[in-house]
Amino acid sequence: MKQSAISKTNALIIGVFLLQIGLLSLRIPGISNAANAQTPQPSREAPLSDALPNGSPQLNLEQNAIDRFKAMSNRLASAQTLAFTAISSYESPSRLGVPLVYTTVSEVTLQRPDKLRVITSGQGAASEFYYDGKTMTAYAPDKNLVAVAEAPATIDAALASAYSAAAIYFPFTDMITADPYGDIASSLKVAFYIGQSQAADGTTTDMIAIANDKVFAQIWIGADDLPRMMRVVYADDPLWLRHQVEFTNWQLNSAIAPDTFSTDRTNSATRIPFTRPDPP
Amino acid sequence: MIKLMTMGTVSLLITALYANSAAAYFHASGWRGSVSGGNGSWSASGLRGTASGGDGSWSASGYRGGSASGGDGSWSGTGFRGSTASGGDGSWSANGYRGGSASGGGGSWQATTSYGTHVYGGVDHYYGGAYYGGYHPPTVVNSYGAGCYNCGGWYAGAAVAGAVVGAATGVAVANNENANAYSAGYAAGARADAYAIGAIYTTLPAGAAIQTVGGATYYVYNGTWFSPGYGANGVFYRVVPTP
Repeated sequence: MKQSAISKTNALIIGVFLLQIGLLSLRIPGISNAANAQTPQPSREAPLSDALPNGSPQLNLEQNAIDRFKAMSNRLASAQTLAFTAISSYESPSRLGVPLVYTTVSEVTLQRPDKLRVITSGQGAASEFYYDGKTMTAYAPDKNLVAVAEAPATIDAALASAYSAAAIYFPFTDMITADPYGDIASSLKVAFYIGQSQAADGTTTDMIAIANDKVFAQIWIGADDLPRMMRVVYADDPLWLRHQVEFTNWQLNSAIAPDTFSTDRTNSATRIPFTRPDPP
Repeated sequence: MIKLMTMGTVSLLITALYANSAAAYFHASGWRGSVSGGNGSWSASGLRGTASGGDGSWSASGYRGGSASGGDGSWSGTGFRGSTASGGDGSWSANGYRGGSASGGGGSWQATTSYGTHVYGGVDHYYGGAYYGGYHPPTVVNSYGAGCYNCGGWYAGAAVAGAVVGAATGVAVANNENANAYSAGYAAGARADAYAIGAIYTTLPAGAAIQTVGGATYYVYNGTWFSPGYGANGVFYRVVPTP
Protein backbone atom coordinates (compact mmCIF):
# COMPACT_ATOMS: atom_id res chain seq x y z
CA MET A 1 0.00 0.00 0.00
CA LYS A 2 1.28 3.41 -0.90
CA GLN A 3 2.30 5.83 1.79
CA SER A 4 -0.20 8.41 0.68
CA ALA A 5 -3.03 5.92 0.78
CA ILE A 6 -2.02 4.73 4.21
CA SER A 7 -1.79 8.24 5.57
CA LYS A 8 -5.17 9.03 4.15
CA THR A 9 -6.61 5.92 5.72
CA ASN A 10 -5.11 6.84 9.05
CA ALA A 11 -6.48 10.34 8.70
CA LEU A 12 -9.82 8.86 7.80
CA ILE A 13 -10.01 6.70 10.89
CA ILE A 14 -8.96 9.51 13.16
CA GLY A 15 -11.14 11.90 11.28
CA VAL A 16 -14.18 9.71 11.57
CA PHE A 17 -13.60 9.31 15.27
CA LEU A 18 -13.28 13.03 15.62
CA LEU A 19 -16.29 13.42 13.42
CA GLN A 20 -18.28 11.68 16.08
CA ILE A 21 -17.33 14.49 18.36
CA GLY A 22 -18.23 17.02 15.75
CA LEU A 23 -21.56 15.57 14.79
CA LEU A 24 -22.70 14.88 18.28
CA SER A 25 -23.46 18.53 18.73
CA LEU A 26 -19.82 19.31 19.36
CA ARG A 27 -19.82 18.69 23.04
CA ILE A 28 -16.35 20.10 23.25
CA PRO A 29 -16.18 20.20 27.04
CA GLY A 30 -16.39 16.45 26.85
CA ILE A 31 -12.92 16.38 25.44
CA SER A 32 -11.60 18.18 28.41
CA ASN A 33 -13.71 16.16 30.77
CA ALA A 34 -12.44 12.93 29.33
CA ALA A 35 -8.90 13.97 29.93
CA ASN A 36 -9.60 15.29 33.37
CA ALA A 37 -12.30 13.10 34.77
CA GLN A 38 -12.53 13.39 38.54
CA THR A 39 -10.55 16.61 38.40
CA PRO A 40 -12.03 20.00 39.16
CA GLN A 41 -11.40 22.70 36.63
CA PRO A 42 -10.49 26.07 38.09
CA SER A 43 -8.64 28.60 36.00
CA ARG A 44 -5.42 27.12 34.67
CA GLU A 45 -3.62 30.41 35.19
CA ALA A 46 -4.30 30.55 38.91
CA PRO A 47 -2.32 28.72 41.58
CA LEU A 48 -3.99 25.55 42.77
CA SER A 49 -4.57 27.00 46.20
CA ASP A 50 -6.62 29.84 44.71
CA ALA A 51 -9.39 27.36 44.05
CA LEU A 52 -10.08 27.30 47.77
CA PRO A 53 -12.55 29.81 49.08
CA ASN A 54 -10.52 30.41 52.20
CA GLY A 55 -7.91 33.05 51.54
CA SER A 56 -5.86 32.46 54.65
CA PRO A 57 -2.87 30.21 54.04
CA GLN A 58 -2.67 29.30 57.71
CA LEU A 59 -6.24 28.08 57.82
CA ASN A 60 -5.65 26.03 54.70
CA LEU A 61 -3.01 23.98 56.48
CA GLU A 62 -4.95 21.58 58.65
CA GLN A 63 -2.80 20.44 61.53
CA ASN A 64 -3.89 16.81 61.47
CA ALA A 65 -2.90 16.56 57.82
CA ILE A 66 0.44 18.19 58.53
CA ASP A 67 0.97 15.83 61.46
CA ARG A 68 0.35 12.77 59.33
CA PHE A 69 2.69 14.03 56.65
CA LYS A 70 5.38 14.83 59.22
CA ALA A 71 5.03 11.41 60.82
CA MET A 72 5.46 9.76 57.46
CA SER A 73 8.44 11.93 56.67
CA ASN A 74 10.09 11.16 59.99
CA ARG A 75 9.52 7.44 59.62
CA LEU A 76 11.13 7.38 56.22
CA ALA A 77 13.96 9.76 57.04
CA SER A 78 14.96 7.89 60.17
CA ALA A 79 15.37 4.57 58.41
CA GLN A 80 18.95 3.81 57.52
CA THR A 81 17.87 1.52 54.72
CA LEU A 82 14.69 1.35 52.71
CA ALA A 83 13.43 -1.20 50.25
CA PHE A 84 10.06 -1.15 48.54
CA THR A 85 8.23 -1.78 45.33
CA ALA A 86 6.88 1.25 43.50
CA ILE A 87 4.15 0.76 40.93
CA SER A 88 4.05 4.00 39.03
CA SER A 89 1.51 5.01 36.44
CA TYR A 90 1.15 8.16 34.47
CA GLU A 91 -1.11 9.43 31.78
CA SER A 92 0.15 10.57 28.44
CA PRO A 93 -2.08 12.00 25.74
CA SER A 94 -2.81 9.89 22.73
CA ARG A 95 -3.13 11.48 19.33
CA LEU A 96 -6.84 11.66 19.96
CA GLY A 97 -6.22 13.95 22.90
CA VAL A 98 -7.53 11.64 25.58
CA PRO A 99 -4.81 10.11 27.72
CA LEU A 100 -3.45 6.61 27.83
CA VAL A 101 -1.99 5.31 31.06
CA TYR A 102 1.41 3.70 31.31
CA THR A 103 2.75 1.76 34.23
CA THR A 104 6.19 0.87 35.45
CA VAL A 105 7.24 -1.31 38.33
CA SER A 106 10.41 -0.41 40.20
CA GLU A 107 12.25 -2.28 42.91
CA VAL A 108 13.86 0.39 45.03
CA THR A 109 16.70 -0.14 47.48
CA LEU A 110 18.27 2.70 49.39
CA GLN A 111 20.95 3.08 52.01
CA ARG A 112 21.40 6.48 53.56
CA PRO A 113 23.07 8.74 52.86
CA ASP A 114 24.64 7.81 49.57
CA LYS A 115 23.40 4.63 47.94
CA LEU A 116 20.43 3.94 45.72
CA ARG A 117 19.33 1.27 43.29
CA VAL A 118 16.22 1.37 41.13
CA ILE A 119 15.42 -1.63 38.95
CA THR A 120 12.51 -0.85 36.66
CA SER A 121 10.52 -3.22 34.53
CA GLY A 122 6.88 -2.96 33.56
CA GLN A 123 5.74 -1.47 30.30
CA GLY A 124 8.42 -0.24 27.98
CA ALA A 125 12.08 -0.99 28.13
CA ALA A 126 13.63 -2.13 31.37
CA SER A 127 16.15 0.12 33.04
CA GLU A 128 18.51 -0.07 35.98
CA PHE A 129 19.84 2.86 37.95
CA TYR A 130 22.72 2.53 40.38
CA TYR A 131 24.21 5.18 42.62
CA ASP A 132 27.02 4.26 44.98
CA GLY A 133 28.04 7.62 46.37
CA LYS A 134 30.59 8.28 43.65
CA THR A 135 29.05 7.43 40.34
CA MET A 136 25.61 7.00 38.93
CA THR A 137 25.00 4.35 36.33
CA ALA A 138 21.99 3.88 34.10
CA TYR A 139 21.83 0.58 32.27
CA ALA A 140 19.46 -0.57 29.57
CA PRO A 141 19.80 -4.36 29.75
CA ASP A 142 17.84 -5.15 26.60
CA LYS A 143 20.09 -2.90 24.53
CA ASN A 144 23.24 -3.46 26.57
CA LEU A 145 23.82 0.28 26.68
CA VAL A 146 25.11 2.06 29.76
CA ALA A 147 25.61 5.64 30.87
CA VAL A 148 28.03 6.39 33.67
CA ALA A 149 28.81 9.73 35.30
CA GLU A 150 30.36 11.07 38.43
CA ALA A 151 27.77 11.83 41.06
CA PRO A 152 27.47 14.04 44.15
CA ALA A 153 27.92 12.64 47.63
CA THR A 154 24.31 12.31 48.75
CA ILE A 155 21.19 10.70 47.41
CA ASP A 156 19.37 14.03 47.27
CA ALA A 157 22.14 15.68 45.31
CA ALA A 158 22.49 12.71 43.01
CA LEU A 159 18.78 12.74 42.23
CA ALA A 160 18.91 16.44 41.48
CA SER A 161 21.96 15.89 39.30
CA ALA A 162 20.29 13.05 37.42
CA TYR A 163 17.28 15.21 36.75
CA SER A 164 19.36 18.16 35.65
CA ALA A 165 21.68 16.17 33.42
CA ALA A 166 19.30 13.66 31.92
CA ALA A 167 15.73 14.36 32.99
CA ILE A 168 15.79 11.26 35.15
CA TYR A 169 13.03 11.56 37.68
CA PHE A 170 11.53 8.86 39.84
CA PRO A 171 7.91 9.35 40.86
CA PHE A 172 8.79 8.20 44.37
CA THR A 173 11.58 10.75 44.73
CA ASP A 174 9.54 12.77 47.21
CA MET A 175 9.57 9.82 49.59
CA ILE A 176 13.24 8.90 49.56
CA THR A 177 14.95 12.23 50.12
CA ALA A 178 16.61 12.93 53.44
CA ASP A 179 13.76 15.13 54.65
CA PRO A 180 10.54 14.69 52.66
CA TYR A 181 8.56 17.14 54.76
CA GLY A 182 11.31 19.74 55.01
CA ASP A 183 11.76 19.76 51.25
CA ILE A 184 8.29 21.08 50.61
CA ALA A 185 7.16 22.58 53.91
CA SER A 186 8.01 26.13 52.99
CA SER A 187 6.01 26.00 49.80
CA LEU A 188 2.94 24.27 51.16
CA LYS A 189 -0.24 26.24 50.65
CA VAL A 190 -2.82 23.59 51.34
CA ALA A 191 -3.01 20.52 53.53
CA PHE A 192 -6.19 18.82 54.57
CA TYR A 193 -7.30 15.50 55.95
CA ILE A 194 -9.66 13.53 53.72
CA GLY A 195 -10.49 10.43 55.72
CA GLN A 196 -9.57 6.79 56.02
CA SER A 197 -9.32 4.22 53.29
CA GLN A 198 -8.96 0.47 53.14
CA ALA A 199 -8.13 0.47 49.48
CA ALA A 200 -4.38 0.90 49.41
CA ASP A 201 -1.94 -1.98 49.90
CA GLY A 202 -4.47 -3.97 51.90
CA THR A 203 -4.23 -1.85 54.98
CA THR A 204 -5.94 1.05 56.67
CA THR A 205 -4.61 4.38 55.54
CA ASP A 206 -5.21 8.02 56.27
CA MET A 207 -5.77 10.07 53.18
CA ILE A 208 -4.44 13.58 53.10
CA ALA A 209 -4.09 16.13 50.36
CA ILE A 210 -1.29 18.66 50.11
CA ALA A 211 -0.56 21.30 47.54
CA ASN A 212 1.70 24.16 46.70
CA ASP A 213 1.32 26.41 43.72
CA LYS A 214 2.70 23.76 41.40
CA VAL A 215 1.63 20.36 42.62
CA PHE A 216 -1.48 18.88 44.13
CA ALA A 217 -0.95 15.49 45.78
CA GLN A 218 -3.19 13.03 47.52
CA ILE A 219 -1.32 10.67 49.81
CA TRP A 220 -2.43 7.47 51.50
CA ILE A 221 -0.47 6.92 54.73
CA GLY A 222 -0.65 3.68 56.69
CA ALA A 223 -0.99 3.34 60.43
CA ASP A 224 2.71 2.51 60.43
CA ASP A 225 3.35 5.95 58.93
CA LEU A 226 4.52 4.52 55.62
CA PRO A 227 3.11 5.83 52.36
CA ARG A 228 0.97 3.39 50.41
CA MET A 229 -0.07 5.52 47.50
CA MET A 230 0.39 9.00 46.10
CA ARG A 231 -1.49 10.64 43.27
CA VAL A 232 -0.34 13.90 41.77
CA VAL A 233 -1.57 16.53 39.34
CA TYR A 234 0.69 19.34 38.16
CA ALA A 235 -0.69 22.83 37.88
CA ASP A 236 1.53 23.57 34.91
CA ASP A 237 0.11 20.68 32.97
CA PRO A 238 -2.66 22.03 30.76
CA LEU A 239 -4.31 18.62 30.67
CA TRP A 240 -3.99 17.91 34.38
CA LEU A 241 -2.85 14.39 33.71
CA ARG A 242 -2.72 12.07 36.68
CA HIS A 243 0.46 10.54 38.05
CA GLN A 244 0.27 7.86 40.65
CA VAL A 245 2.65 5.66 42.54
CA GLU A 246 1.69 2.76 44.77
CA PHE A 247 4.09 1.61 47.47
CA THR A 248 4.25 -1.95 48.66
CA ASN A 249 6.65 -4.53 50.13
CA TRP A 250 8.14 -2.02 52.53
CA GLN A 251 11.28 -3.09 54.36
CA LEU A 252 12.98 -0.68 56.72
CA ASN A 253 16.42 -1.06 58.23
CA SER A 254 17.03 -4.43 56.68
CA ALA A 255 20.56 -5.56 55.98
CA ILE A 256 21.57 -4.90 52.42
CA ALA A 257 24.41 -6.64 50.63
CA PRO A 258 27.32 -4.33 49.83
CA ASP A 259 27.27 -5.18 46.14
CA THR A 260 23.66 -4.11 45.75
CA PHE A 261 24.47 -0.66 44.46
CA SER A 262 26.63 -1.57 41.51
CA THR A 263 26.67 -4.20 38.82
CA ASP A 264 29.30 -5.87 36.71
CA ARG A 265 26.75 -6.56 33.99
CA THR A 266 27.67 -3.23 32.48
CA ASN A 267 31.30 -4.19 31.90
CA SER A 268 30.61 -5.33 28.37
CA ALA A 269 27.96 -2.71 27.65
CA THR A 270 28.38 0.07 25.12
CA ARG A 271 28.86 3.46 26.72
CA ILE A 272 26.45 6.24 25.91
CA PRO A 273 26.11 9.68 27.52
CA PHE A 274 23.53 10.97 29.94
CA THR A 275 21.59 13.60 28.07
CA ARG A 276 18.25 15.35 28.09
CA PRO A 277 15.75 14.45 25.40
CA ASP A 278 14.92 18.06 24.74
CA PRO A 279 12.69 18.82 21.77
CA PRO A 280 14.48 19.55 18.53
CA MET B 1 -6.78 -3.31 4.98
CA ILE B 2 -9.80 -5.24 6.11
CA LYS B 3 -9.10 -4.29 9.68
CA LEU B 4 -8.67 -0.70 8.69
CA MET B 5 -11.89 -0.71 6.80
CA THR B 6 -13.67 -2.39 9.66
CA MET B 7 -12.35 0.17 12.08
CA GLY B 8 -13.47 2.94 9.81
CA THR B 9 -16.84 1.36 9.29
CA VAL B 10 -17.46 0.78 12.95
CA SER B 11 -16.42 4.27 13.83
CA LEU B 12 -18.42 5.69 10.99
CA LEU B 13 -21.53 3.88 12.02
CA ILE B 14 -21.21 5.22 15.50
CA THR B 15 -21.21 8.68 14.05
CA ALA B 16 -23.67 8.36 11.24
CA LEU B 17 -26.22 6.44 13.21
CA TYR B 18 -26.01 8.69 16.23
CA ALA B 19 -25.48 5.72 18.45
CA ASN B 20 -25.02 6.34 22.13
CA SER B 21 -21.35 5.49 22.34
CA ALA B 22 -21.33 5.53 26.09
CA ALA B 23 -23.89 2.79 26.23
CA ALA B 24 -22.52 0.48 23.62
CA TYR B 25 -18.77 0.64 23.32
CA PHE B 26 -18.16 -2.71 21.70
CA HIS B 27 -21.55 -3.44 20.27
CA ALA B 28 -21.77 -0.40 18.08
CA SER B 29 -21.59 -2.37 14.85
CA GLY B 30 -23.20 -5.53 16.08
CA TRP B 31 -26.74 -4.55 16.91
CA ARG B 32 -29.50 -4.73 14.39
CA GLY B 33 -27.45 -3.96 11.32
CA SER B 34 -25.63 -5.58 8.45
CA VAL B 35 -22.29 -5.17 6.76
CA SER B 36 -21.20 -6.46 3.39
CA GLY B 37 -18.39 -5.90 0.98
CA GLY B 38 -16.26 -7.25 -1.78
CA ASN B 39 -14.46 -6.32 -4.96
CA GLY B 40 -13.31 -3.05 -3.50
CA SER B 41 -16.59 -1.83 -2.20
CA TRP B 42 -18.58 -2.21 0.96
CA SER B 43 -21.84 -1.14 2.41
CA ALA B 44 -23.54 -1.23 5.73
CA SER B 45 -26.95 -0.51 7.00
CA GLY B 46 -28.20 -0.08 10.48
CA LEU B 47 -31.49 0.55 12.05
CA ARG B 48 -30.99 4.26 11.73
CA GLY B 49 -28.68 4.83 8.84
CA THR B 50 -26.58 3.58 6.01
CA ALA B 51 -22.97 3.76 4.94
CA SER B 52 -21.11 2.66 1.87
CA GLY B 53 -17.79 3.05 0.20
CA GLY B 54 -15.37 1.82 -2.33
CA ASP B 55 -12.54 2.81 -4.60
CA GLY B 56 -11.18 5.30 -2.11
CA SER B 57 -14.34 7.06 -1.09
CA TRP B 58 -17.14 6.56 1.36
CA SER B 59 -20.35 8.15 2.44
CA ALA B 60 -22.89 7.72 5.16
CA SER B 61 -26.20 9.14 6.20
CA GLY B 62 -28.15 9.00 9.37
CA TYR B 63 -31.89 8.81 9.74
CA ARG B 64 -32.18 12.31 11.12
CA GLY B 65 -30.50 13.88 8.16
CA GLY B 66 -26.86 13.87 9.18
CA SER B 67 -24.39 12.86 6.53
CA ALA B 68 -20.70 12.28 6.11
CA SER B 69 -18.47 11.50 3.21
CA GLY B 70 -14.85 11.30 2.36
CA GLY B 71 -12.25 10.14 -0.02
CA ASP B 72 -8.85 10.89 -1.41
CA GLY B 73 -7.57 12.00 1.96
CA SER B 74 -10.32 14.32 3.04
CA TRP B 75 -13.67 13.98 4.71
CA SER B 76 -16.57 16.11 5.76
CA GLY B 77 -19.79 15.75 7.60
CA THR B 78 -22.91 17.65 8.48
CA GLY B 79 -25.13 17.01 11.42
CA PHE B 80 -28.88 17.29 11.20
CA ARG B 81 -28.78 20.43 13.30
CA GLY B 82 -26.23 22.11 11.15
CA SER B 83 -22.98 21.16 12.81
CA THR B 84 -20.18 20.61 10.37
CA ALA B 85 -16.83 18.92 10.45
CA SER B 86 -14.17 18.33 7.89
CA GLY B 87 -10.59 17.34 7.62
CA GLY B 88 -7.86 15.94 5.53
CA ASP B 89 -4.14 15.75 5.10
CA GLY B 90 -3.50 15.59 8.81
CA SER B 91 -5.76 18.34 10.04
CA TRP B 92 -9.41 18.71 10.90
CA SER B 93 -11.89 21.29 12.04
CA ALA B 94 -15.45 21.32 13.23
CA ASN B 95 -18.16 23.79 14.08
CA GLY B 96 -21.12 23.11 16.27
CA TYR B 97 -24.55 24.45 15.65
CA ARG B 98 -24.47 26.25 18.97
CA GLY B 99 -21.26 28.06 18.26
CA GLY B 100 -18.52 25.77 19.50
CA SER B 101 -15.56 25.04 17.31
CA ALA B 102 -12.59 22.76 17.32
CA SER B 103 -9.59 22.12 15.16
CA GLY B 104 -6.44 20.12 15.21
CA GLY B 105 -3.61 18.60 13.34
CA GLY B 106 -0.02 17.73 13.73
CA GLY B 107 -0.67 15.95 16.98
CA SER B 108 -2.44 18.72 18.80
CA TRP B 109 -5.94 20.10 19.04
CA GLN B 110 -7.79 23.06 20.41
CA ALA B 111 -11.38 23.87 20.93
CA THR B 112 -13.62 26.67 22.01
CA THR B 113 -17.03 26.02 23.43
CA SER B 114 -20.10 28.10 22.80
CA TYR B 115 -19.50 29.53 26.25
CA GLY B 116 -16.03 30.70 25.34
CA THR B 117 -14.11 28.06 27.27
CA HIS B 118 -10.86 27.27 25.53
CA VAL B 119 -9.26 23.88 25.87
CA TYR B 120 -6.37 22.29 24.10
CA GLY B 121 -4.18 19.25 24.08
CA GLY B 122 -1.66 17.33 22.12
CA VAL B 123 1.16 14.93 22.14
CA ASP B 124 4.11 17.23 22.56
CA HIS B 125 4.42 16.59 26.24
CA TYR B 126 8.04 16.77 27.04
CA TYR B 127 9.24 16.96 30.59
CA GLY B 128 9.88 20.41 31.90
CA GLY B 129 10.16 22.49 35.00
CA ALA B 130 12.49 22.40 37.90
CA TYR B 131 13.32 19.78 40.44
CA TYR B 132 10.41 19.86 42.86
CA GLY B 133 7.44 21.90 41.93
CA GLY B 134 7.81 21.41 38.20
CA TYR B 135 5.98 19.48 35.59
CA HIS B 136 7.67 16.12 35.35
CA PRO B 137 5.82 13.85 32.99
CA PRO B 138 6.47 11.54 31.46
CA THR B 139 8.89 9.80 33.71
CA VAL B 140 10.19 7.35 31.17
CA VAL B 141 11.03 7.45 27.53
CA ASN B 142 7.89 6.51 25.71
CA SER B 143 9.10 3.44 23.91
CA TYR B 144 5.72 1.81 24.21
CA GLY B 145 4.27 3.53 21.21
CA ALA B 146 6.83 2.40 18.64
CA GLY B 147 4.18 0.21 17.07
CA CYS B 148 1.25 2.43 17.90
CA TYR B 149 0.83 5.54 15.84
CA ASN B 150 -2.16 6.82 17.75
CA CYS B 151 -0.47 6.40 21.12
CA GLY B 152 1.31 9.71 20.72
CA GLY B 153 3.97 10.41 23.26
CA TRP B 154 7.48 11.55 22.64
CA TYR B 155 7.96 9.47 19.60
CA ALA B 156 4.96 11.00 17.94
CA GLY B 157 6.04 14.40 19.14
CA ALA B 158 9.18 14.07 17.12
CA ALA B 159 7.44 12.47 14.23
CA VAL B 160 4.81 15.09 13.71
CA ALA B 161 7.48 17.67 13.05
CA GLY B 162 7.65 16.42 9.53
CA ALA B 163 7.19 13.49 7.27
CA VAL B 164 9.59 11.51 9.32
CA VAL B 165 7.18 9.19 10.99
CA GLY B 166 6.97 6.77 8.15
CA ALA B 167 10.65 6.22 8.04
CA ALA B 168 11.47 5.39 11.59
CA THR B 169 8.21 3.82 12.55
CA GLY B 170 8.21 1.93 9.36
CA VAL B 171 11.38 0.02 9.72
CA ALA B 172 10.98 -0.48 13.42
CA VAL B 173 7.47 -1.76 13.16
CA ALA B 174 8.13 -3.90 10.16
CA ASN B 175 10.37 -5.95 12.38
CA ASN B 176 7.95 -6.19 15.22
CA GLU B 177 5.85 -9.28 14.95
CA ASN B 178 3.37 -7.84 17.37
CA ALA B 179 2.83 -4.66 15.45
CA ASN B 180 -0.79 -4.11 14.73
CA ALA B 181 -2.10 -3.86 11.22
CA TYR B 182 -2.57 -0.15 11.51
CA SER B 183 1.05 0.51 12.28
CA ALA B 184 2.28 -2.12 9.92
CA GLY B 185 0.28 -0.57 7.17
CA TYR B 186 1.62 2.82 8.02
CA ALA B 187 5.06 1.35 7.83
CA ALA B 188 4.69 -0.10 4.42
CA GLY B 189 5.11 3.17 2.64
CA ALA B 190 8.05 4.30 4.70
CA ARG B 191 10.62 6.50 3.15
CA ALA B 192 14.14 5.84 4.31
CA ASP B 193 15.41 9.30 3.54
CA ALA B 194 13.18 11.47 5.70
CA TYR B 195 14.85 11.71 9.10
CA ALA B 196 14.97 15.24 10.44
CA ILE B 197 18.06 16.43 12.24
CA GLY B 198 17.31 16.69 15.95
CA ALA B 199 14.36 14.33 15.90
CA ILE B 200 14.17 11.77 18.68
CA TYR B 201 13.34 8.12 18.27
CA THR B 202 13.01 5.39 20.83
CA THR B 203 13.82 2.61 18.41
CA LEU B 204 16.36 2.28 15.68
CA PRO B 205 15.60 1.15 12.18
CA ALA B 206 16.47 -2.48 11.74
CA GLY B 207 19.88 -2.87 10.26
CA ALA B 208 21.31 0.26 11.84
CA ALA B 209 25.01 -0.33 12.33
CA ILE B 210 26.97 0.81 15.33
CA GLN B 211 29.84 3.17 14.65
CA THR B 212 32.38 4.79 16.92
CA VAL B 213 33.67 8.22 15.99
CA GLY B 214 35.98 10.14 18.25
CA GLY B 215 35.15 7.83 21.12
CA ALA B 216 31.43 8.46 20.79
CA THR B 217 28.91 5.80 19.83
CA TYR B 218 26.57 6.29 16.89
CA TYR B 219 24.23 4.19 14.85
CA VAL B 220 24.06 4.61 11.09
CA TYR B 221 21.21 3.64 8.86
CA ASN B 222 21.12 4.45 5.18
CA GLY B 223 23.28 7.51 5.65
CA THR B 224 21.40 8.81 8.69
CA TRP B 225 23.33 9.08 11.94
CA PHE B 226 21.72 8.49 15.31
CA SER B 227 23.31 9.49 18.60
CA PRO B 228 22.13 7.33 21.50
CA GLY B 229 21.62 8.83 24.91
CA TYR B 230 20.16 7.95 28.28
CA GLY B 231 17.57 10.38 29.56
CA ALA B 232 14.15 10.45 31.15
CA ASN B 233 14.74 6.94 32.48
CA GLY B 234 15.38 5.33 29.13
CA VAL B 235 17.43 5.17 25.97
CA PHE B 236 16.59 7.36 23.02
CA TYR B 237 18.24 8.13 19.70
CA ARG B 238 18.61 11.59 18.24
CA VAL B 239 19.24 12.20 14.56
CA VAL B 240 22.47 14.14 14.21
CA PRO B 241 24.57 15.46 11.35
CA THR B 242 27.28 13.15 10.13
CA PRO B 243 30.05 13.44 12.73
